[in-house]
Amino acid sequence: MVVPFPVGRRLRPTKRLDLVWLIFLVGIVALAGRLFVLQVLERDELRARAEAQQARRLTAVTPRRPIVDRRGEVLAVDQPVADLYVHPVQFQEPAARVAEKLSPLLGRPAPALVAQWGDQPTGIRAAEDVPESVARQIRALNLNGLELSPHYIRLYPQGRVGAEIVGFVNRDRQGQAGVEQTQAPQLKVPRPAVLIRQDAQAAPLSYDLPVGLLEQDETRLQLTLDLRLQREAQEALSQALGKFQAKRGAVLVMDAQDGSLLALVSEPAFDPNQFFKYPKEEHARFKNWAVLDLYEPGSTFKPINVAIALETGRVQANTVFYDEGRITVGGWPIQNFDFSTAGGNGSIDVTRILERSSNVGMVHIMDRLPRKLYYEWLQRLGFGQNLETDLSPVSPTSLKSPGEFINYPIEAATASFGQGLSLTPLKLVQLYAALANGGRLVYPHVVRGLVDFDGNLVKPPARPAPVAVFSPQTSRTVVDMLEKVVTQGTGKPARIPGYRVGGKTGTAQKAGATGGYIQGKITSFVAVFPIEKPRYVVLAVADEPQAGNAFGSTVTAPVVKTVLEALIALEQIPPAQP
Amino acid sequence: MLTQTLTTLRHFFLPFTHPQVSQWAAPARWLQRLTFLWLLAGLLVLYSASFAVQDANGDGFYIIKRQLVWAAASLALYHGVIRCPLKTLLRFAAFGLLACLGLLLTTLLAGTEVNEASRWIALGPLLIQPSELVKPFLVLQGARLFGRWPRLSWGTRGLWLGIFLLVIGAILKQPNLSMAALTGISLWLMAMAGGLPGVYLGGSAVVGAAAGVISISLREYQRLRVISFLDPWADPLGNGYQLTQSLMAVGSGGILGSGFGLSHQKLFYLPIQDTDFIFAVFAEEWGLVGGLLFLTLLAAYCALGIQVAQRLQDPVQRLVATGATVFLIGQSLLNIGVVTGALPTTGLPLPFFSYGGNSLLVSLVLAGFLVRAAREAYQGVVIPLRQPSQDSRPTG
Repeated sequence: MVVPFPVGRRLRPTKRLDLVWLIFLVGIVALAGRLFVLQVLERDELRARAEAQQARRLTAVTPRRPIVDRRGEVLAVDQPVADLYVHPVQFQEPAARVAEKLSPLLGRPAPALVAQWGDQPTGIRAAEDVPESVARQIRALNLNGLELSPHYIRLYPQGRVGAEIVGFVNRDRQGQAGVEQTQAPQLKVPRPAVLIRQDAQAAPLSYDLPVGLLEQDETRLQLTLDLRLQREAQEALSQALGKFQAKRGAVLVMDAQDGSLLALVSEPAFDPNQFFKYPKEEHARFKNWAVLDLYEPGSTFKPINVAIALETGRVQANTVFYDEGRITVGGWPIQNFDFSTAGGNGSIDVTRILERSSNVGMVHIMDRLPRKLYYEWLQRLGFGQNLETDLSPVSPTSLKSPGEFINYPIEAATASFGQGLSLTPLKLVQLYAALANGGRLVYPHVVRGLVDFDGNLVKPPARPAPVAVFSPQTSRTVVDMLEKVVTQGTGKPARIPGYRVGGKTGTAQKAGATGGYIQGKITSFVAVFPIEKPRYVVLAVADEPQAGNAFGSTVTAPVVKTVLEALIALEQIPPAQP
Repeated sequence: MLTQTLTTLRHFFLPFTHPQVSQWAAPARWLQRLTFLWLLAGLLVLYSASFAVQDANGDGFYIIKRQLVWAAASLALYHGVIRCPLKTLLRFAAFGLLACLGLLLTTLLAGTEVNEASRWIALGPLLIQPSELVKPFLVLQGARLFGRWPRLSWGTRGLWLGIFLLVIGAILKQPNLSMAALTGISLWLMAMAGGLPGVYLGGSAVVGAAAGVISISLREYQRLRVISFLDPWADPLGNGYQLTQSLMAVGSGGILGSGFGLSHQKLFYLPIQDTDFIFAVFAEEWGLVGGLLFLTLLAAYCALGIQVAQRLQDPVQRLVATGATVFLIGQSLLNIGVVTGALPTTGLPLPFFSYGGNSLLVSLVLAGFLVRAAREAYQGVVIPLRQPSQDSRPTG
């Protein structure tokens, strides 16, 4: 019998056991070194790799703010939808079975779906803009190989109504026209991208979610528009345009006190929900021509000239002029619109000149001013400059060069009855608003500002201060004259029993692109209301009405009247003479 | 009455508080303390590692509850083991080993498949894992074989070596390469500690290594795992997935760790985070500091185990202590090596940490062997006047 370890040397450690200890000690030290490498030397790299999968930059598609009218009626709102992508390679059942399950939800026959998918293994967009309710049902199918990519689409519940103001966003959700474009910064909900941590099933971990992440932004962009009025105006205008086969038209209703627009209709309109369906040659619809396009105002500009003349003190309201009915200025003939039927008006005062819309009378009035002074007044009223408005970054006006205007008497003569200078319908309304509000040029605007859920202004937008151009007396005088135009002159079709309306017709020749006048004309009517306490300015313009009897008084005055009646009903304006 | 019950329960669950323990020699007391420190730490880490995933399944405590039940049952066995003389325990060796071999062979024929490997036998609600249960008997029988090697005939040696090989082969066939390797390496270390001639050791090492290489090359998935361990980032979503997720967890821990319960990687990123990769969760939550403390615990445990072995007179008993140490520490080091990417990715549980009743039970039994061996080793020192002899063994 072999006894390996002699009795009596009991504490003698064996070398083999030391070796076992050594092996394990080396292992332990090596692992400690390995831990040091991983947790100290490679920590940053490993942590970065881990964070790359653990953290997600939350660039949640936040909805664009809704746009509402002055009463809170919604003009534009975001709707959550999803695009459905299919990846047949991940299907765990035959494609036909998947298609059968999707078919009722997508409202498309299963074979059509299968055919669409074809042989492509992955990344097929099977459906676009699926409503959230349907997306939820698709998710509930719990099928592999389906991917829902959520986003928002912009809905315009009013369709064509107000589209010229609101504009639209394109597929990339960029504002392409109107307020959607000009107010883009305000419509975007600010949400800085935050880094949130998530588990491997993409559920966010709550412990480091930033404060306020889940706060709902219920701020809306409120317009000064009244959609009810907008609808009435649109209806009245499109009827008139249809009746006279006019090319296009516009109606503007402004609160003269602050320059806010209650309605702005520009026809032809478009449906912002279907913007992509309009062919390229019809894209002019997207342009709000009432803000962007110049026209010669014609007779509607006469009251502005009268205000200038009165303000300079060179003419009084009762100054009498001799109206020959037809004169020659600088070799050019100038005559009244009714000269061929009515002849001259003889000796008439300024009020009567407006009532009769006498071109010759206007030439005589403005002839009292040195042309340089007249020119400076036009400049003071903003001619030759861009009109500032929140409707568009640019809203032009046009004025001849000072040399041309001052040296050639025909220029001032034509300007006196509103030809030879051009402005936008919006600019004309602004000028009339100055007459109505006691002589201040206000900032034409359509945006009230961002409001909270209860309609309180979150932050009033900064607007340029009004500029006083006429004295209150002058503007009052002209407003009274405008009332006479309606009660006794060319503006009779705009009369409303019981209410005091002032206004002016206009039937202007159209300037061609190459200079000179072309066949078509622009008829317009602009009203100031109510005369006893002027508040509203309403302008209706019809471009190139075709019928023979198309004048400001026949085409557009009835439109203005309809709008005024709607305004009376909506704002509950009491009659002046019960 | 109540006080008595409470005391009994305290002695059961926290045996180091038992008054009798104060009479033990220091190494025995320390081994027991370290065992329970290890066990408690393991239960805490398992709770943290398993909660989030189990919570998603409905009951966050599902796994820790089960493990606690297993721990209580295993503790009963532990108490039995430390009260039983090694000599008596050794008597169960041959029978137990053969029974486990039988079970192992049964798994190959009628095992329950988990993760494409049949390692389990369903016994009612319990899953029996013979490759775990065989370990204590391998320690005992290995000690008997290698401790008495010079006295045994070649027939006996051959018979038991053959049975050992059969056990390893059966584990390998499951397939469970890592457990087979652990078993082989541990037995080899026992043989080495037992003083077997270098020629045998060298030869068997070569044969074992060759068997491992052949096994790996025969199985596609094992080969891919071994290759991916060399560069896990080459295929982080495929074969390198487990290891890269584990490395990210360990690295994220940094020096101080993210704090108990705050591992991010355990949230469904890290696979099998409650068993094979539980150390990654521990390393992320406790950082380098925790990792070094745990390695220190292992080193102390190992040192104590080896010291106890060195104290023991009887080569068989010495090898019982050595085997228990080798199996516990060896498996721990292999597991940490895998988790930290120092070794090929294989599936070995971390003793006392990983979820699994069989593993916990076996770990506590092995620890019991060691504590028992420590008590017997220092018996002579506590009563120095008496000559230590085979008969002067503590009995209770």
